[in-house]
Amino acid sequence: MLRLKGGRLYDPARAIDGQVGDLYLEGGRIVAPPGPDGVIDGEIDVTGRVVMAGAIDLHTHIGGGKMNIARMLLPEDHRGDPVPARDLHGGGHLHGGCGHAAPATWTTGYRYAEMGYTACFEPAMLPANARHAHLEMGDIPMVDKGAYAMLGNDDFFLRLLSSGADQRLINDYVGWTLDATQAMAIKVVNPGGISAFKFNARNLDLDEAHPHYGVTPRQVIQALARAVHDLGVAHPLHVHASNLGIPGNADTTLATMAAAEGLPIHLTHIQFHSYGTEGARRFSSEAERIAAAINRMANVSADVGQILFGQTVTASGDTMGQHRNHRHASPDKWVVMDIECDAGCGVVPFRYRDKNFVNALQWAIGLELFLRVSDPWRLFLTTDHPNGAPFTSYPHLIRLLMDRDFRNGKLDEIHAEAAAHSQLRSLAREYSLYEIAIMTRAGPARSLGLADRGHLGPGAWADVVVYRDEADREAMFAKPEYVFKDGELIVRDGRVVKVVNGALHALKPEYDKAIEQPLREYFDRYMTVKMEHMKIGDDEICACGASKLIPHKCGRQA
Amino acid sequence: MTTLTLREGVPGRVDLAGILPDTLAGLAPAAISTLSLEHDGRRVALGELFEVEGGDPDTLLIQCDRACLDNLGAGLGRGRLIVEGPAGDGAGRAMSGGQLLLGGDAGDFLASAMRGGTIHVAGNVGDWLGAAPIGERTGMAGGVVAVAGSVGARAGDRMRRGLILIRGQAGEYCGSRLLAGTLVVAGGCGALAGFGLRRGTLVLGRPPLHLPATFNDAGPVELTYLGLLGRHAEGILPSVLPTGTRVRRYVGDLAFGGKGEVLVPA
Repeated sequence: MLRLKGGRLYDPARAIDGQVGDLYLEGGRIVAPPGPDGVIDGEIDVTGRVVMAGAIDLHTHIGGGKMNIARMLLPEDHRGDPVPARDLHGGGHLHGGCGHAAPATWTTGYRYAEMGYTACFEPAMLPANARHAHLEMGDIPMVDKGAYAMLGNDDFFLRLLSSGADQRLINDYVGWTLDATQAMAIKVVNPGGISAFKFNARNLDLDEAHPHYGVTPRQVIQALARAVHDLGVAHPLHVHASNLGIPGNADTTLATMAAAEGLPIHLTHIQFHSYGTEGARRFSSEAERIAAAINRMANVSADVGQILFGQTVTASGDTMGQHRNHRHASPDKWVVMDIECDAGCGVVPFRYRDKNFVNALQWAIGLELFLRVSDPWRLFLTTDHPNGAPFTSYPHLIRLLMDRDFRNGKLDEIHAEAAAHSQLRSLAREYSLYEIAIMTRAGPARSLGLADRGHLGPGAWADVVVYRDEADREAMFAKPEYVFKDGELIVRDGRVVKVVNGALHALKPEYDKAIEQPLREYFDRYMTVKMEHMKIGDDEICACGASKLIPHKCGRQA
Repeated sequence: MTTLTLREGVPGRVDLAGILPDTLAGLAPAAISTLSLEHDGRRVALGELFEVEGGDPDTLLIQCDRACLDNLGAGLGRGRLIVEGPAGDGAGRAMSGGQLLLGGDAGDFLASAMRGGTIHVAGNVGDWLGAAPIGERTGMAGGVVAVAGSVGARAGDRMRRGLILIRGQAGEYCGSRLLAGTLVVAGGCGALAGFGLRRGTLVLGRPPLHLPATFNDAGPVELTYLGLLGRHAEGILPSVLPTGTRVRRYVGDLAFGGKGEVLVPA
């Protein structure tokens, strides 16, 4: 048994806010304090240190095909950021890698762990690409993984919906998809819009009928949100709403929230969906209205998708949106493609500039959202890696949230007109360590239904991070002193000291397997593979590289 | 002259990007030995791979017996780098000035994205001479490369300024997708020379075996600038240009705008 002695614990799941206490780690888990007979073999004095559970990123594009396209498109991203291999003292070694915006799989895992992250969720796994996604995630060491299956633009679903199929049939199809692809949640990207793009639509509003199937994005969202709810999936329907990046899209975003009609709904990278059309440049912040709606509607959660300045690459399933954005590609090259009629994919390299009015205002809108949404349990810290910025910029983002003077200093550097347009300077809020622990640990764990992750209570898996309490929060969160994964020390002073594989979280929903009959006929008639080939067995997950499969039951939580 | 001599029996490949006269200037041999290099994807001390001898910092001599040193002279801005022995890939990459003298052969991507300075190669050169680095859109954009031997495929691919002189032969697709600049090949070249040529000039000492179908024969012409070019080239790589100013001119590539030209002896 290992004792972490005297740390200041930040464990929002148990309402512990900086109280000093000891943690006991045994058999990979956190255990209750032993009685006087307990044998303590090791002790680390963490007096004065900040102790949190391992961080969880619930929206980061780390696998699933898009990243490989980004890697192929941007050799300069790799040339410019090489990571040499390194031998470890205790044996073993770190693989060499490369990449700033689209790092190699190995490098992705090491960098996440070195910031204190112990779980990452790929939010856009196409069912047709699921096997690749699992192979790629299996290749990412150090952290646990999971993926959200993308539905809502696939032909089978749109046929069901347009034929007026019974909701129970849709539920079964959603359940089958979760099961077959070993997914953790369901995501919908530009509902119906990716499909409509292939029928030559370049825009599809929430209540606009799809040119071929006749259904509207609202119907897609409602059917999927209902299915996710009925199946008892912990994470709400993960929605990348219509009209991403278009000035004036805040109205669509608000209407999308309302379209859930009280069912749980998660709006992702909401920064890209909070734009108005005021001002001489017809581009303005609607963060206040969006944040007010989130504050009002308890069924809504969101992650921000903050942008940070510099070179990155945007990778999205939203073919329609990415096709619209391609003229902003920097460097000037891009890929937009269909994938097996399942959905699509667009990869557009992007350089966010602080002296550019639009980029500067995007930056301010994201921060405004962070500061205006009052409940950190329903707002999560993301940059939509790599779309807003690479995940390695999280420590910088945390400092922007925790340090008002630092934030206002940066505000002085951006495009002056954008700074003047934003109300960011008037927002005095500074996040506390407790709130950061909620939005990066306890909140995501609760949202995903991970009962024994994201907290430090007895019984939880011992994913524990120890930070030095530095005034410079960026330095503090960039380099934790200790990171434990399932009780093993994997990072010391911001450097990996032991390589572990990480497990895969997957849901095991209950549904009527009779759905396989029409599905099998559909695959035989229309698709390039048989239905059986789509299914990923439990034994394949470890063959793909994950250390183990962590199955989760579906069921309504109190 | 500062001298680095590759130790015997060093396996694998060594990345020498950043080892330049400028970066070594003012450093004693012991300090140079502690610089870190990438050897087969791992960081090692330069002294583990090379014997170091100090001297005049403006000239750096690198001695090696096999082509395992990549990115020799990459980013060179001033001074002289002399290589005795074969060079690996990427020599002279993104060079902006100074002189790179390669005493043996060179690998692929010599002078890739070069912007200025001069490269002389005594031996042969691999593929993609002066081409764009993989993933980028413009190749060599300035400077002069003179090759005494022959070069591989795709010489001058996407080149947009500068001068390449080749005394020997060039492989297939010589001058492909060339945007601007001048490529001279004295000894003839392989199939599809000038494929995708947008502007710029290919001067061939021998008529090509065949040009892409999208080139138009514009007949014999008198081009006085060839005399100027010849005098300029004489000081770099003697007698590599055909004598005289009368050449046969092919215009193309018509599938790509057709503002380029391939000149062969009339």
